[in-house]
Amino acid sequence: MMRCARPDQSTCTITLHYLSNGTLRLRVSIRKQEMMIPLCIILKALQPGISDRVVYAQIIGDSGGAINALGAPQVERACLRFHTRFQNVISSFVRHAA
Amino acid sequence: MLRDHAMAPYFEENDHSSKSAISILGSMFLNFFFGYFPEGTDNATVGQFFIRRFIAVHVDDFLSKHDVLVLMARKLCCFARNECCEDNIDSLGYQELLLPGHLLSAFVTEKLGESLTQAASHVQREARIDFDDIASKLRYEPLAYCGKTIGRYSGIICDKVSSLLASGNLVSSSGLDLQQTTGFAIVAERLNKWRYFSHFRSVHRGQFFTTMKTTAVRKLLPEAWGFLCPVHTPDGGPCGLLSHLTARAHIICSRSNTIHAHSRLLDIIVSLGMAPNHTSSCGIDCTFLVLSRQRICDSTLNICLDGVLLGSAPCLVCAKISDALRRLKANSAFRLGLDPTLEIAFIDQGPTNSSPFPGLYLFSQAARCVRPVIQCGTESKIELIGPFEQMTLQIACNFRGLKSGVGDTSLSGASAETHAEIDPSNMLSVLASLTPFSDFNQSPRNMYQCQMGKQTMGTPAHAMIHRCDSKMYRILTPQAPLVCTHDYTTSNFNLYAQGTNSVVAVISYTGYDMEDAMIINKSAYQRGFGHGVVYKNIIVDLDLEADRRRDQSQSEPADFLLFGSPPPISTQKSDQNAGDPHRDSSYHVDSSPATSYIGEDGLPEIGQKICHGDSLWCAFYELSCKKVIGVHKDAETAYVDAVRFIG
Repeated sequence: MMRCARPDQSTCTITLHYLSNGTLRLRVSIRKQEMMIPLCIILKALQPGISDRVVYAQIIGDSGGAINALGAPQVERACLRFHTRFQNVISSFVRHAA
Repeated sequence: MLRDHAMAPYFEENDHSSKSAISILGSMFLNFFFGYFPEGTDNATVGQFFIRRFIAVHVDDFLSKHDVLVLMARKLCCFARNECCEDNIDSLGYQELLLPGHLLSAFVTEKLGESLTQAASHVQREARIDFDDIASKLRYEPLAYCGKTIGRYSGIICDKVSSLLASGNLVSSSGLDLQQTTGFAIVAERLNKWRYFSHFRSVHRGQFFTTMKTTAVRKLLPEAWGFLCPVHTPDGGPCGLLSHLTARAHIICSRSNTIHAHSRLLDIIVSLGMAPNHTSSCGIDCTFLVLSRQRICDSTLNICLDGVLLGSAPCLVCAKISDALRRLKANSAFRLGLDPTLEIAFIDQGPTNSSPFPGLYLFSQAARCVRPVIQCGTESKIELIGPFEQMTLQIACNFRGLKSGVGDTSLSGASAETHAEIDPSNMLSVLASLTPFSDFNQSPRNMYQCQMGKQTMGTPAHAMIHRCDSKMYRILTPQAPLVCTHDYTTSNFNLYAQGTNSVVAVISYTGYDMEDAMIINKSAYQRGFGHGVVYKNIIVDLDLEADRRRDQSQSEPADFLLFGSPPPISTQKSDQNAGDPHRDSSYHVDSSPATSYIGEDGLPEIGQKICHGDSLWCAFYELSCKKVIGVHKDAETAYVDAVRFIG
C-alpha cells in the first residue's frame, strides 16, 4: 500500500495485491469505485517498449536474495510461469475490456 | 511465441508498445472520465490522463512511476516469498498526519475542479443549442462570458467550505482518499486552558477505527515513543485512538525542500557512492547494464527519497551514506542547504524473514512528526528525527545512560546507542508532564489526571471582559500548586491557574467513594474555597424579537423595535395591551416584573442582580410606542457583568 501525496499534500492511495495465483494487481479507487488493474498493463503503459523479460528481471531477479534462494533452473521455470501468467492476465483483461 | 493471437487486434503494430497498453487502460476508464474529454478523444489520451491522475501521483514522469511500481512489486514479492516481514500500518512509523490545512486545500481543489467541469458542460450544452452564439461570445467577449458561466457554479464553494468547518461533514465525490466522511471538525472548548490547549495537540486515528471490535489499533506501540504520549489518552471509547503529541514533538506543516535542496541532496548521495537510477533515463540498454551490475554485486539496496527511487548502492555503502547524511543534517544542514528535518532510515538486510524490507529511505515532505534528540558523536548535537527513522536508531534514555557510545565516532554500531533523549520526560505530553510524582503513581491514575485536569473549572482566558463566548467558567480563588513539575513552571501554566491546594481528609465510615469526597473546613469555604462563576452571554436582537412578536400578535409589519422606554404619551396604549390573553409568557408588556433598575436606554445596570423571571431589557415599537420587556429566562440568578452594543 502506498499513499502518494502530490506537492499540495492531496493524496491518492494505490495498493498492490499479490493474488494467490501469483499475479500482481494494483488497486486504485476512482470516485469511490475500486478497480483492480493488472500491474503488467500499467508497467507496460508507463515504459515504452519494455519487454516481459526486463519487467520480470526488475521485479523478481533484481533482489539478490531471490537468486540465492531459488536455484537457476527454478528461476527459469518461474520466469516461464510468469510469462504464461502474464499472457493469461493480458488476454483475460483484454477480453474483459472488450 | 508466447503471445496470444487473440490479442492481435489490440496490439496493432508492436506487441509490447506502451501505446497499446495505454489504449487498453484508456478504453477501460473512458466511462469514468466522460465529462473530462471532448468527444472523439482517443483511448491513449484517456489512459495517460488516468495514469497521471491516479497512479503514483507523487512523481510526474512515467519512468519514475514505473520505478516506484516496480519497487512496490519487488517488496510485495519479497514478502510473498517470506523474506521480509509485513509492515504494521498501525505503527506510527508508517503513518503521516492529516493536517487541517491540507484537508482544506484538497477539498477546495476538488470543489474548484467540480465547478469547472460543470461550467464546461454548461458551455457544451449551450453550444449544442446555439453554436454560433456561443462561438461569437467566446471569441469577442471571452472574459465576460466565461466569468459569468464559471461564477454560476463556483459561488457555492464558500458555502461548502463553511459547511465542512461547521459540521465536520465532508461531502466529496472522490472521498479525497479518506476513510471517513464525518467528524472532521471539533469544537475547541474553552473550559479551561488545559482543555483548550490539548485540542491543538490531539491526534485522532480516524472514525473508522472507533467502530472496530478488535483492539489492535488501540495498542500502545513502541514506535510511537516520544511522538505520542502514552499517558494522555482518554479512558473509555476513544482510548488509544485519540492521543496527544508529546511536548517536544512537532509536525512539519509545509514542505521545506526546494528543488535546489533536492538536487543538492542528490549530489551528496551520489558523491557518497550511490549508483543513480539509470533505468529511468535511457531505456532498455541500461536495464541490461543494471542487470549485469546486479550479477556482480548481489546485495544492492534501493535508495528512496519521498517514495521516489533515486538509485541503489551496496549494503555497506548505504550504511555509510546514512551515517554521513546524519552528520551533515545535524552539523551543517543550513550551510549546505539541506533539510534539517530530513528523515534518514537505513534498514539493513535482515538475517531472518522477520526483518523489514531493506533499503535506505529518506523523507523530507510535510505532515510528518519530528522530535529532537541528542546525536552522540564527537560533539553532541540536536537532531530532529522522525518515527520511521526512530525505528532504526538506538536511543538511550538519557545522556548518562549511554553505554560506551559517547566517544565512539561510529554511528552505525548496532550495539551502542548513537542517540540519547534530551530529557526522559520527553515521552510525555504537555498535560501528562504537569502531574507531579507521576512515576510514583499507578499508570491509570496519571491517565485520569490528564482527563480530570481538563474538566476542572479554571482560568480559560484573561480578557474575559472583552470576550463573548456563549458560556465560560472561571474560578475565583485559584492557587498555584504547592508541588509542581519543572514543566509546569516552564510552560507558564501558573498564568492560567486552576484548582486549589487542599488537604484531603479520610472520610467517614459510611461516606461516599473516597475519590469524590472531601471534608471542607467551613471557614475555608467562607473564605472562598472553590468559588467560581459562569459567564453567560445573552444576545438580544431586536429585529428577531420583532419578527417573533409579529408572528404572535400580528402587529404592523413595518414596525421596528428600539431599546429604551417609550415616550410617556403612549403608556395608555400599553396598558390596554396588558390584559391581552394571547401574550407570550416571556414578554410581559408593562406588567409585573420590576423595571426600576432598567435605565433610560432600556438596558440593565452593570452589577445588577437578576433572578429568574426578572426583566432584563426594555424596548418599544417605533410607531405604535408599545412597550416590550424581555425577561431573564435562566433558572440561575445572575449579575450583569457587561452590556455591549453590537452592530
